[in-house]
Amino acid sequence: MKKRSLSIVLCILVVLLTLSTSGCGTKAVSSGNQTLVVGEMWKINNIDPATNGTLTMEKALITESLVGTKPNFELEPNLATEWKRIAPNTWKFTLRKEVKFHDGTPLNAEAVKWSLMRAITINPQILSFTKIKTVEAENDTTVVITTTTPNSDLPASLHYAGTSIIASSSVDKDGKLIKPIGTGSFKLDQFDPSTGDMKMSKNTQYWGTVSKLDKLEIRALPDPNTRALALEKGEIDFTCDPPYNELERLGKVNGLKVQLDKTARTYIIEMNLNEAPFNDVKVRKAMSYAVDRESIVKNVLFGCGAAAKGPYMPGMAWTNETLKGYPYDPEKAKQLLTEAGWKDSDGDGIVDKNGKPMKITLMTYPQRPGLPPMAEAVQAQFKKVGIDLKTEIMDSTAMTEIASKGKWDMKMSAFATAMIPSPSYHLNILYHSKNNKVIGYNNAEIDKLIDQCMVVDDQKEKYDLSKRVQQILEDEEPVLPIAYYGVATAMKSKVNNFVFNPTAHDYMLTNEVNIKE
Amino acid sequence: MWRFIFKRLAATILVVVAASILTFGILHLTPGTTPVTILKYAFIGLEEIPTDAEITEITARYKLSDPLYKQYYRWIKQAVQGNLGDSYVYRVPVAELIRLRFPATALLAALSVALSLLIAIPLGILCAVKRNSFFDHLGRISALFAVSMPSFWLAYLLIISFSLGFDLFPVAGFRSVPSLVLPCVTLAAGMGAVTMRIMRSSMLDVMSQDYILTARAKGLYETGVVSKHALKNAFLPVVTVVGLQFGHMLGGSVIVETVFAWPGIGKLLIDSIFAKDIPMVQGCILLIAMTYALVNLLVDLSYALMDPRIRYGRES
Repeated sequence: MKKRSLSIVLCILVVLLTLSTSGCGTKAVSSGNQTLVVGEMWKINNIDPATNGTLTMEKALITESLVGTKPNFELEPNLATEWKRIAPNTWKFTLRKEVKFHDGTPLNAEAVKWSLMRAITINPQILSFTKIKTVEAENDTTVVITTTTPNSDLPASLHYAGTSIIASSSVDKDGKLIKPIGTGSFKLDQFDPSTGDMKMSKNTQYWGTVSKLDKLEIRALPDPNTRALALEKGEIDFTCDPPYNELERLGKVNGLKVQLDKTARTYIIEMNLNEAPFNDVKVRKAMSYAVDRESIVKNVLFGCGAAAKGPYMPGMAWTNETLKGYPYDPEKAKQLLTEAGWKDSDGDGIVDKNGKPMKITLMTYPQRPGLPPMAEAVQAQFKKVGIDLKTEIMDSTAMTEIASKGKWDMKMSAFATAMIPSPSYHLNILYHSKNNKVIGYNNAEIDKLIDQCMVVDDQKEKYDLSKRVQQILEDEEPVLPIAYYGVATAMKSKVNNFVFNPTAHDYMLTNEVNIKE
Repeated sequence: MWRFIFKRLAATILVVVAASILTFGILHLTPGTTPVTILKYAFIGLEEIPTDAEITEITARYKLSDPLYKQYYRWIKQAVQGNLGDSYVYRVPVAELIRLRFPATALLAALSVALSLLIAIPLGILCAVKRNSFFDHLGRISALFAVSMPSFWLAYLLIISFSLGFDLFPVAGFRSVPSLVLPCVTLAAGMGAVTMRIMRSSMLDVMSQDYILTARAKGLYETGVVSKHALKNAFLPVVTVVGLQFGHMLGGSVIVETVFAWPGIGKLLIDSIFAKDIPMVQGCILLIAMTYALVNLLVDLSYALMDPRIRYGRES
């Protein structure tokens, strides 16, 4: 008995000793050939392009979509070289010749048909973006797509990562995904479903510029502090969104560099326009003037982002760059509140009207780390003009549910403005009276302009219509734009030629990225 | 003995079924309607507004418009046939995901409990034997620190000092043996502190018993008194606590799994709860309830080994 317990203790000791002495970390090795190790910000459980296309197309560079975008969000050829609407509901896409999947099979119309049909069956969102009814292979390089209703955003929606094309050999005979076999500049060698780690190697047969990197590795590190530490230690070469308050320090660490960019997402405050005081445009404008956007970006977001003037960030093809926005002006805010009948008549520091003080609640969610502290900053800024704002942090689905029941005041979120790169998509879902009933915005002129913007084919006309909508939105301020969403990328100094692509959802590597020792 | 084991196993089944019914019910009480939540977490993105067509499609796909009892019956009918269904979010079999994640959790649980025992047991005994000495105070204060320190903070401190500072272990991941050390130490610190305190107080309790006095009166050496007579008796409460700790660890540890990017079952469960991934949550709860019940059974059986006065399954 005694001997046995002694031996158990000894065994444990031996195990622990080997654990502690065989130390010495596993560093990202780049022996001769160029390997880039990326610390990914989300947990990776799923590498199906139909539901996690952002990962396979933008981060792992395995799959590609038919339509590409320039950095200003204008569409450009990708796997499809041209497209044309041949009838209100019918489109013809011509495929790029000489493109091969990673398994050597050619990219042809049949393959595209199979891939698109698979995507719309799996992900209902892709069906609502594209409105695809049928996909037919007219010949080897021509795909004819019909939609259930006229959809001038079909090309833009075929840029969406969920529609990126995979070969039918990606799935087994039961239709279950084995691994995504795409046309991109990297092919997937290994995926560990328990850790989420992915290993890719360069596709030497790539139709475009072959990547300068030989290997690409993605490691899922969902904790932002861990990502920063792993980069400092040298376990990863590149990562996205370390904690905002660490950016300055990381930038000063020897051998590291930090880059700040903006992406097509805007922090906004929506209001319940069906209820007082938000149904009064003067109150909304007063609130907009009361927000010190510059200070929020500097102090809350640590410079990661920019003060918002309108729904779209500058640099997008359809952004109305003439908008002036609402610069911080607490005096003007107070004046507008007075004009609207809100005065501090009882001297308690809170404005009131007909004996009722202005007490409102702002809801937001913690999944985007900038939101809760931003809500607190808005609370303090509103206080200065006499608005008593209470903040409530909850899960985003809880917030949606409360708002859908109609009993709410304000909610703050970070809303994607180019899920599909179209000048009407985001305006339509957020401001069209038939789509966003929750905020209760109802403007016949806006509805008409958005409807027009969605059907016209001429890009310039589309952009002009979108710009007109943005101007009306500035005059009416049904939603308060607060800040454009910033993306921080941090990498080793030896990572070369990384150019941020604003159309990427988090970050996107290009074939020019390389490592210079 | 065997009858006892059989009875306990039968009770385990009841516990598991009860747990699954409770989980199923509570999941439907949390805010957010099920199809919208699934859409947001699995398909369209957290901030997107789902269209009516999308909601209809998901409701039909997962038969979410059926009454709850029907949905539960469908799940349990499959489950008893060994089919836990497919995850809504990951779209792969639940059993497969659990099989991939559970080993990492079990390994971490076993090693961290072992490490905590290795430190806590000798320390607890020493503190009890040298009661009120400097060593005792030091041990108790350290234990207080270890148990009060939030595990995420300890985790970062360990990474900063032993990974960044001394370059001994990797920051995160589950790749090599060294990557086990920091998560193990993080978990063991809190558990070890509790175990040490229990060990000490239990030991003190035993040392004041009459039979210890008798042993001393017989003229036994103090080491003999402690190791032969006191220790075995003092172990009972310790085993109870360690059993609970181990059971708890087998349910995964969300914070440590997040900080160290550890592919365990705790984070999987939490993420699935947020996403209302009902089959995934049910599968995890099933596993956790079963392991917990099993560990408790083992603890009860070990009492009989340690204390001959305890006998199961016989009328006394």
